[in-house]
Amino acid sequence: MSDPTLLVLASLAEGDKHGYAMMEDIERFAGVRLGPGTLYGAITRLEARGWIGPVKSRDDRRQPYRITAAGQEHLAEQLASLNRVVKTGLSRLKQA
Amino acid sequence: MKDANMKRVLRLLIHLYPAWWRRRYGQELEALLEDSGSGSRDVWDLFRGAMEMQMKTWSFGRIVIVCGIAGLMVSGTVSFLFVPYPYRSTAILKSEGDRSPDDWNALSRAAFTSQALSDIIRQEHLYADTPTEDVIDRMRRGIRVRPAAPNLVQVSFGYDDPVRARRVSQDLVARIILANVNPQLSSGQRIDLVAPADQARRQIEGKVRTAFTSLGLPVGLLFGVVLALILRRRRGPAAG
Repeated sequence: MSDPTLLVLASLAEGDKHGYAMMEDIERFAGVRLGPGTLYGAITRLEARGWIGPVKSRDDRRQPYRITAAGQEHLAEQLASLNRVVKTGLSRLKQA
Repeated sequence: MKDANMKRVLRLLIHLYPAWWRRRYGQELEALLEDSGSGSRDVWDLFRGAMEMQMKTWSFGRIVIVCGIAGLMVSGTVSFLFVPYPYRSTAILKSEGDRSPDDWNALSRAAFTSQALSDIIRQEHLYADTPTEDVIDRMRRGIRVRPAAPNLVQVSFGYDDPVRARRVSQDLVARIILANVNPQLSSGQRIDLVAPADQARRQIEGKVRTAFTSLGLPVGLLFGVVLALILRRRRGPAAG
């Protein structure tokens, strides 16, 4: 799972986060360090699709984001699809 | 690069993003750069991100033109780095008797020691006068010693400047003649200069360089058309 948009959604599924917190979280759970350009590219695309949105914050420079209902739905679909691939792959490995 | 300098470079790269994007995310990205440790990988990452965002609002024609220019710049740089010797001057030496290619190579090795090449580099102000190991290796790549017949050898040198290419070529044959006098290497056969270094001409390297450079434009334009078509399909509502 290396699609940055999916990683950002998975990170925000836990709760609201700003850019740096997402970067740290993703590195922790996926072992992938998203570069600043990649992270903000993903945030731009996700916000444009309505899958995440900014949350009011006192610090304008560290803007937190929240996953929307549509974002949760999309993430659930993608993870279910990934889950099917993982299950199939593992069962085929056992048979081999 | 020091972390502070790296962060300065990264902050400058934010200016490559389009204005609409900087207004919305510029401050956040700057804060992220302040908070996170930055490495050289991030330079490419930010540059790529900026280009991605720029292309979201670029027209089809603009993408094609920019890619064409970028292709020309890349091919020009690559051809300069890999085909750096457009001018070549050649001199011909004749041995009293036949010599094998190995004999000529041994003589060349004795004549073109690192010290000898360093001297020539300084004397002729080649490669910005710095005879480091890399520069000496580069000079070696510019030297050709090719037997033309069992008793004839062509010695040539390629360089950016035709005048210096000729002078160095002349110097190189003089050093081979001198090395042949060395009793340990000499087979007792004289070596004479039969054709002094000729006026350096644009050789095949120069033509290759021009051809390769000019190829960059059509390849870049073609890439731009493909990229523009892909982006047109993927372009989302973020373009505004």
